[in-house]
Amino acid sequence: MSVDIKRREYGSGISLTEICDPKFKSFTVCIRMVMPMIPEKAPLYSLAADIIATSTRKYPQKEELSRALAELYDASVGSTESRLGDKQIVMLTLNCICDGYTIGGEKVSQKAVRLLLDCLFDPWLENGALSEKYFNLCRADMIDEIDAVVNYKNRYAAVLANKRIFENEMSAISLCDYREPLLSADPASVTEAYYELLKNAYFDVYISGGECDGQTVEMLLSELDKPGRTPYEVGSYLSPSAIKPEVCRAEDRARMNQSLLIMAYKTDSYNEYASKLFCALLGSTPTSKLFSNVREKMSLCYYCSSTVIDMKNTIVVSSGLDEQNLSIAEKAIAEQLEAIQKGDFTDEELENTKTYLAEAYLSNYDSKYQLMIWYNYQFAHGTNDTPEEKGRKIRALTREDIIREAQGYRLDTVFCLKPEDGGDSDEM
Amino acid sequence: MKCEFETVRSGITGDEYRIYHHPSGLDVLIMPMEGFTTTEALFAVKYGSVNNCFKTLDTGDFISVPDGIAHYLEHKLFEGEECGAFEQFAGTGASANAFTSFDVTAYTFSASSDYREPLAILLDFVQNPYFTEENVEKERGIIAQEIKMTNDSPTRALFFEMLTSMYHRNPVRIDIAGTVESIGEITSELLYKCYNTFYNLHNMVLSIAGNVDEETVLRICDEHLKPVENRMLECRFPEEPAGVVKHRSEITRQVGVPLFSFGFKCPPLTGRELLRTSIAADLMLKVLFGSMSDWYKNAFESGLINSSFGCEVFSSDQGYLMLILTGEAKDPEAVYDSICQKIRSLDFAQFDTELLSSLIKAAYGSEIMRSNVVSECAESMCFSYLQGVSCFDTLDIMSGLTAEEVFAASSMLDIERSSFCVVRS
Repeated sequence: MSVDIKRREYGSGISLTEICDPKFKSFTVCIRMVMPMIPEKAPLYSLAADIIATSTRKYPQKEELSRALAELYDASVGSTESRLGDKQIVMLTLNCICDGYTIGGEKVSQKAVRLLLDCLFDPWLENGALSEKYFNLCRADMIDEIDAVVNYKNRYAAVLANKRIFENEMSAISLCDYREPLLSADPASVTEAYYELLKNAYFDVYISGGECDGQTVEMLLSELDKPGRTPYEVGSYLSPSAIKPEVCRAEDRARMNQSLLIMAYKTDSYNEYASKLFCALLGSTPTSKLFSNVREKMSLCYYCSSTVIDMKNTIVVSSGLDEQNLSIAEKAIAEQLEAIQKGDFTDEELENTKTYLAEAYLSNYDSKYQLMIWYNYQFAHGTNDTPEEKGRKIRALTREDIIREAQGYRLDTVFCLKPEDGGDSDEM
Repeated sequence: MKCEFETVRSGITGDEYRIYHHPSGLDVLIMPMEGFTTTEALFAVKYGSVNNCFKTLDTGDFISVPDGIAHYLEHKLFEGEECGAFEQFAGTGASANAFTSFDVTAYTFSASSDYREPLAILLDFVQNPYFTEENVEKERGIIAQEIKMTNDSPTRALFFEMLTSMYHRNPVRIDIAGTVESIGEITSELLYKCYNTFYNLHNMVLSIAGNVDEETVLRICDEHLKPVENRMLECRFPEEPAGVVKHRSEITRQVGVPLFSFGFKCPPLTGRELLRTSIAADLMLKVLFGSMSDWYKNAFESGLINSSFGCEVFSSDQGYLMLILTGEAKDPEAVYDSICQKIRSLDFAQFDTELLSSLIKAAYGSEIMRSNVVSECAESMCFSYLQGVSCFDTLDIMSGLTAEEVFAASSMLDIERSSFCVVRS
């Protein structure tokens, strides 16, 4: 593949990864600010990132910044927040087309990177604090987003299930838990959080895509690598979740028509590659055990799939079905997992699943975002696999490896979100 | 077999693809993309949920079929007499899928190492239906759960509430998957009837982009396409009044913040005229109500709307065209009043032509980014073809539009032909 990857570490808590492939006509710069997950601080860091993405000293109004970005051929700067293990990651991301594709040969990439850096280091301040106007607007927007979680029943069920699956762990904290801290926040506390991010966050920076201006790396480093920082020492992202001595069974109700079933399995002998393959064989492909049996043979549901929760040695199985079929589905899912634990799968099933994963890994080469996610995943896990290398490692696994890995998984939590009496209707 | 072809080239970006007229009756769209690893293919039928009344040389008079049958057919086509399509794809590592919309059904795959076998499987399974009463019955429970899952989405409920408030008779008002009741009427015989009507290569297209070479694709097409006679398919749509069914409606669902949708019904169009009108309308909506407009700034800063607000043109050559403003609001009535006030005070002298220029430049940038994604290219070629245009027409048309033409599209914001729908808890 023609992808060129360079990763450099800088002493002051900065790593910079360049992933360049000239076939891409645009590029992404992502500044990932890694912090320990601190429940009372996490909402403030997230809100601070939202506020600084709205405006800069040069463009104090959101619309002005938006227009400046539109003039750079639909460049965009956005903020997002995610979680990996027990770390919080607050991100500012720029997307922009490469200079070679502008209509009149204008150079836009350097200007776009400048806007990204201005958002981070030169935001619009009023009396030394982040803008009160955007504090209020971004906070209101975030609270609306929290309130709207209930609109998306799968997401809502996952939030409620994680409370039980990861009880007393940082991973149990969701966006919904941000509501109260946000209501008691003020511009001063969010400004303080913003300066904490600048001072204490580990900057894990990615430039991914086509060729961007040669000055980009220097521009980023000269701004990010400032004296006086005391960056967070990230250490390991691994945050294994202990298996509960007894299976936790819980349910909630919501105004809906279909029930949602979430089952979590955990292991204390996690092997990343074997778990990925086991999970795919169980329920991540259209020929997996769960799809073939629980959906196709039993016609119980539209979807029944499994996924690995990264860094948590946990596999979660999800399905949506009628309430009266919940116990039948739970039994059927358990049977499919037991089948793999007993080696009840063919060599053909195993080889097909390996091929499916290996091919899916290769597809990352065609997306600058996926390449960025791929290499971030590698560095977070302390590995450095290319998609081909990971495919080879998956292909080298034996059926005994999969049986052993499957046998390590034990049922930890069963959560059901069920309809309230009468479900939800179209009637006024 | 020798195929005639046309080359479609963008005068602005220089990108191109070819349309091969295969002797089987199928048009094959191919866009090789240098340096890319994956291949994305869509084998699509101009057949969606709205095509529920039709005739061909075989059916005699027009016949009507139950709601949701196009989607049911899509599910069942993965079934085979000896082995299902998913099992066939499994050995190749390709990822296969399918979808049904209002006006298109498409079967897709994405492959990384080698697309030849997946392409052969795709062409074969779509051309070889195998429906029995038993396997049709088995699918009913699965689709019923899919319907219930989508019914639990307040956003989707709002969308269909708006369609039923705006359209009296056009089948766009009916959910793509039908209802649990309507799919109960579907039999293997009806599925074959619909299959034999619509799944005719003259009514289909193969679109393939990425790591492909034209010669190989055409060779596989030669080997796997079964030539068919054009059976002169004709779809009928009920006459649709210009006005809406109702101007206001409200439904209940569990929502955190009320949702609203403000739809404007417009006269239906087809082909390039539809595309030109849609582009002008889209730009007009962005200038007047988009995130860089004065109206948005005021509405957002006063707390009337939040960042979920958006506007779009929703259209097809199957008899519907509407403009939609949608989002979340604690006081939807106040949003309605504010939008109406803006519409009533429209004046070209106030039209922000500088913003329009920025939006056109941004659209070019966004097109450059889109044209660099294999799946987007395959989809864009396919959907444009089925609407009778090319995927490069958008930028060509946009670059020729005047501010006056864009502003003129605001006449489509006719409050007399609008529906305002709300979802509350």
